[in-house]
Amino acid sequence: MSGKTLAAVAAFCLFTLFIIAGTSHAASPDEAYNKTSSALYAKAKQEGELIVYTVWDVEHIVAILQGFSKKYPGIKTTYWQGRNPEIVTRTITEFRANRASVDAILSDNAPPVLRAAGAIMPYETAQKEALLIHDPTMPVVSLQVQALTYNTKRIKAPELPKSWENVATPKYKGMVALDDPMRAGPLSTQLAALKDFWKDEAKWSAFVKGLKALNVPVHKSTSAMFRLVIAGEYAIAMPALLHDVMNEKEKGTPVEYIKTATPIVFPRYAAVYAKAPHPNAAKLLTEWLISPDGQATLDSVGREASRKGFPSKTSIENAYGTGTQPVAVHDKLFMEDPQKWLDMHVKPIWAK
Amino acid sequence: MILTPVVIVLLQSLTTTRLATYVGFTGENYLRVLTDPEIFSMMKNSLLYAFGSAVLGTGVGAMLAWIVARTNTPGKALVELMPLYPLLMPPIMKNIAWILLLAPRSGILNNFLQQNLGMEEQVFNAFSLSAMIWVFGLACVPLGYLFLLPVFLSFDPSLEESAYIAGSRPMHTMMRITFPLATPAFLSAFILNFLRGLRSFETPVLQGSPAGINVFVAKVYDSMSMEFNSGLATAYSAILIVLSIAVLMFYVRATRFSERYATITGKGYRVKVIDIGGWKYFTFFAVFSYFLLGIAVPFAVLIIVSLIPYYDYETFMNFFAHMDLSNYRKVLHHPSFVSGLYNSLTLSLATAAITVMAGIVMAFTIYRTKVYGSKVFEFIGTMPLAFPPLVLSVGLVLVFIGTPLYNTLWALGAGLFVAYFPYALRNASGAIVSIHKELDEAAWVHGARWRHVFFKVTLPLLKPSVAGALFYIFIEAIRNIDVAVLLAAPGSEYGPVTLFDYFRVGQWGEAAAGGVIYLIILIVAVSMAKFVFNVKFSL
Amino acid sequence: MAILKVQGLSKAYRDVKALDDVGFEFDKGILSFLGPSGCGKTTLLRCIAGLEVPDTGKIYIDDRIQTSILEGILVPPYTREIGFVFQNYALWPHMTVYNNVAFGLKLRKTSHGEVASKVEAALELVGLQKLQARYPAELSGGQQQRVALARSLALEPRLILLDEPLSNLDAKLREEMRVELKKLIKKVGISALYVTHDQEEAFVISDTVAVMERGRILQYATPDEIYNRPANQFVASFIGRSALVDGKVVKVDGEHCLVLVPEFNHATLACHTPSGAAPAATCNLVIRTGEIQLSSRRFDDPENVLEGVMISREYRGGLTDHCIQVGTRQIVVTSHKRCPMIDIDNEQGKVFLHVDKSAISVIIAERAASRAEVPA
Repeated sequence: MSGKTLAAVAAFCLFTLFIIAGTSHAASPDEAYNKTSSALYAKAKQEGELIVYTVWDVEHIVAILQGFSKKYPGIKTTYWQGRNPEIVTRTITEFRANRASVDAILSDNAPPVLRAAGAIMPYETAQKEALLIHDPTMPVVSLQVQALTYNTKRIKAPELPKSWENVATPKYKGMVALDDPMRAGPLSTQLAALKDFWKDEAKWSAFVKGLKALNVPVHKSTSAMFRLVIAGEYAIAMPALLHDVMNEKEKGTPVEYIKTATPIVFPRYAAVYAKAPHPNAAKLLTEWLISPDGQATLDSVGREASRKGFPSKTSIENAYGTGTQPVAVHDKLFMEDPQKWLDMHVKPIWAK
Repeated sequence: MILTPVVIVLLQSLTTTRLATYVGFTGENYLRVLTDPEIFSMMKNSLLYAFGSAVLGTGVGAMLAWIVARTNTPGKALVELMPLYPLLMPPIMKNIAWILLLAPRSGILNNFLQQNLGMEEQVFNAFSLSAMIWVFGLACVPLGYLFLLPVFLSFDPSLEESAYIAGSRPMHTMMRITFPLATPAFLSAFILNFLRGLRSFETPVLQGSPAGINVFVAKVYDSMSMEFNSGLATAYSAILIVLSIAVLMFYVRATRFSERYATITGKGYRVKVIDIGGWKYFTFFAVFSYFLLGIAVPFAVLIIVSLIPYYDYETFMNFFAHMDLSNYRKVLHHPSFVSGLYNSLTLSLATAAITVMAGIVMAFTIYRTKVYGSKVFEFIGTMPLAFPPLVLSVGLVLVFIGTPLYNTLWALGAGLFVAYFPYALRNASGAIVSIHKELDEAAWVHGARWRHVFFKVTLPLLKPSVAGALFYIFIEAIRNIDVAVLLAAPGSEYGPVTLFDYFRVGQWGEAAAGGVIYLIILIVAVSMAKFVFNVKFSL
Repeated sequence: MAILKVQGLSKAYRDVKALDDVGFEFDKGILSFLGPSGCGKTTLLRCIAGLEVPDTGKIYIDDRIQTSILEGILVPPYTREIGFVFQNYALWPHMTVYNNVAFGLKLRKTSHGEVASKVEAALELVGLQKLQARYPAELSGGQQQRVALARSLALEPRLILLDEPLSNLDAKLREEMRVELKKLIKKVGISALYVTHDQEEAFVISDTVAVMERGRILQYATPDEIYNRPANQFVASFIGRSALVDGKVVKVDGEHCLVLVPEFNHATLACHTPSGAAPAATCNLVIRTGEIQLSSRRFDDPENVLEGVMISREYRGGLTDHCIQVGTRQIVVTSHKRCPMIDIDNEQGKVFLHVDKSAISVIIAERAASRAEVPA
């Protein structure tokens, strides 16, 4: 064969490859990832930089960015860490001042709010087929999983509640610690998720009333509440976060979660800022985080996977068994304006 | 400089709503605040809590300052330092330690009483108003101590001696003569502690809400965290501003005859130490008890907690069996432990120096020159304290966002400056009032101009207070996150992020380990500074 | 040429007039401002130093204008080139004696050697050259007072202002210091303004005395004149120990007049005629008790002799206070050279008091005088 034919064959192969890639978009998330990421990487390298705002712990974000840089060298990464209100406030302020200040926002509660304000550039991940929860404008890279958790020294198995709604029975009076349902915390998320899931107004409001009737301490700090359950101050945490529970169990702490209570999840997004100076780098980060490599990095810092069937210690499958369908929050109003949602639904019952 | 963020924030509260959406000039935010039925009960809680803590903290601080400065309590060098160590411990560490100590069911003290003394009831309750006041009040002591120590150390003793001659006993003299004369410094510290209490968030969140005690500042926080409406948050803080102006007006009124409080006079005198006889063991014990309660006991609890995998009473008591160093390993491997500490050290030092200097200049202008309207700055200079940190931070971001300074260290420095200026100003104004005006006037008539009076007379006389304020602001700034957070540029680590990160995440074991390391560094540094550089709080 | 000229100076704090149209001229020597506390004397001094801004008026030092409210002139204190000694010394506690005295000199950019020699000279003047390395806290009150003085003198001002400089010293030291102070000022040859509430101190120290009350200068004269011819009742009562009684002019005869005193058993006293005296005018008599002569026997000349009864006698060191009832009044007479201590040796316990004309000042009551002109 001459060099010409060789070139022609090569060109043909490349051509068919393109076609296959184009048509088999839904075929395999891994292929989609390989293709999309290489295209993004080429552009991201041109941009050369990536700025991340994150709510995640410094240790975690450092590990994540290190993993990202290892896979995609040549992109300088920097981060700023703050709490959700701080992320929202900073991003909104910069957005209103027209500043191209950040590329990707790694957070749970902040992105939906920012999106409502128009500060998010919609981006749909190429690996959507792989995800437990998918949002077409903001890739879900991890999940916040709520687990019904108890102190094994304080309460014995036969006395345990079987489900979330079981907790709202008088026998748990004085044993439960409640997260404040009137703040944008885990319990209000749970209420929003269950309201949607049950689609039974009477059952839902009976649940809220039952919780209120327990008349137990209400905490504004989920982590402090979890520590107090470990300490034995309370027997049951309503609720705790799965990765905290797993982390403690590993150390031998006397806590356990109840597998029959359906896990309740809230997405952790990697959203692209509307005025991102390096949008391709941001998109590349989100794709990588969803990829098996990225998910493994998340697992190494103890964070939950968002990929279906991903074998990590904090994944739903691993913790609750294969095929477990988590209950997710879909309520748009709750995600974008939690105060209004709470005022509408919870306050009338709770504030009585 | 200080006014701009304040004005911007106030303006925003009149023009914007959720998510910083501009809605034109409106009073809606204020209307919402005024029609909120919950704020009265919250305000009551806030006032009780802030007032209680400020009274306890400033009062004990003043007593300790008097003991250290004016009595022959043994162990002077140590006694002088002991009330300062608690300042080194971040307030949230104290909250956690005291929760561990006082929690009704799982607390160390209740368990100890029940198991060893057979007591049935739970004596202590960490989740109550009194426990909140106890913990925050203890945290308020160092400020009172630092503000009053210089006053007592440079006190013209003839002011007291005349009372002794009139037949007044030492204790009586202290209550009737010494303390009233220290009113400006006392009020200054009291006001600061009071405002700190009003806007403090951690103690109410950790210890108040489980008891159903909701404080006013939670409203501000909710406006930011649930509605992302800094306009509304500002409108809520406006109540704090009004309150703080009222408190300041009281201060300005109380100290309007500033000559009455001049305890540093132009008559040469030797500061005399009062021989209190056998009481000196008691006073030593008092100082030592504060040292124990303020830092030693909570510190010991945290050390143990940092060495065990998790806290419960059983593990705590058998900590030898459970001891491991994994928490320390984790902290020391934290990516920003060293760099963060270094950055915040240098920036805090610079901030403390500049802020304290500016505070003195301002206080000097207010009390020693006839610059028209300078009294107003007493209010303006203290105002940043009335804003919850995040609201103030937003104002600062808005100031800098249009300038090339945004996302630089300068903006961060300026932010810290604004946040700590109130401390510097209150400290300096309390101290300047205590210097007799004649000392300035003597300089003028002998040919000194303003700058000479300032640099050669006022500043050297203020040296003890300056040392205290520098120390205080440095320690506070080094662990500041709230104001700095929005101004820190991506990639620049500020503050011992590690430690506070753990607190935010609620990893108490790691937090305790980080806190222990941080505290040891600071305690060593402070003790060295005290003995090596011979830092003195007297003239 | 006057070293100090003050014109129409007024200052009010709220409704209280601290200075009320004060004006005077002063050239050489020592001028004392004497008056009770709150009379405005310190305010006046501070206005002159430029530490206080009057509401109206002008101040000239050495014929140069320093303060003129109308013209908006206010020379700052640091360029007025005057000395000022504060009541509480106002020594800077953080500086040594040397540095306290050198303070103003250093600011004048005087050369190092010159500063040292001038400080040395000033300290020598007050006799403290050995203590220059000490801090104010290590000095006694009198020594501190001298340092404060040296600090002012070191600048060689033409005018020095002293605000009750001796009031913080004990009585014995005060008496010593006032003599020393006067000598020192005379020796240096500068003019001095001296504020005090102690009349004895004012008389000892000054060439001229200005008696002040409620922001006004009531009398501006030599100590002798003020003592012997007080301009009004306030001055008279403020100066020395004196008894004040109401009287009525009975007869005017050129330089002398007769005044009836109802309180003294309707006795008549011959006095120097004051201005505005007319028969039937009511008046006040100021009797300087220090000039009364006491005797247990009748005087030969019955003129101006009062009769009284000794009520008590108190020994006071070398002196004795005799408390005597004359008519309805009690008078305290202290023994002195012209009036030695007496014992009562007559049966009725009677005492005789001779009051010389020169010991009486007659002040015609203004309102009473005008009433007298109106026929009843």
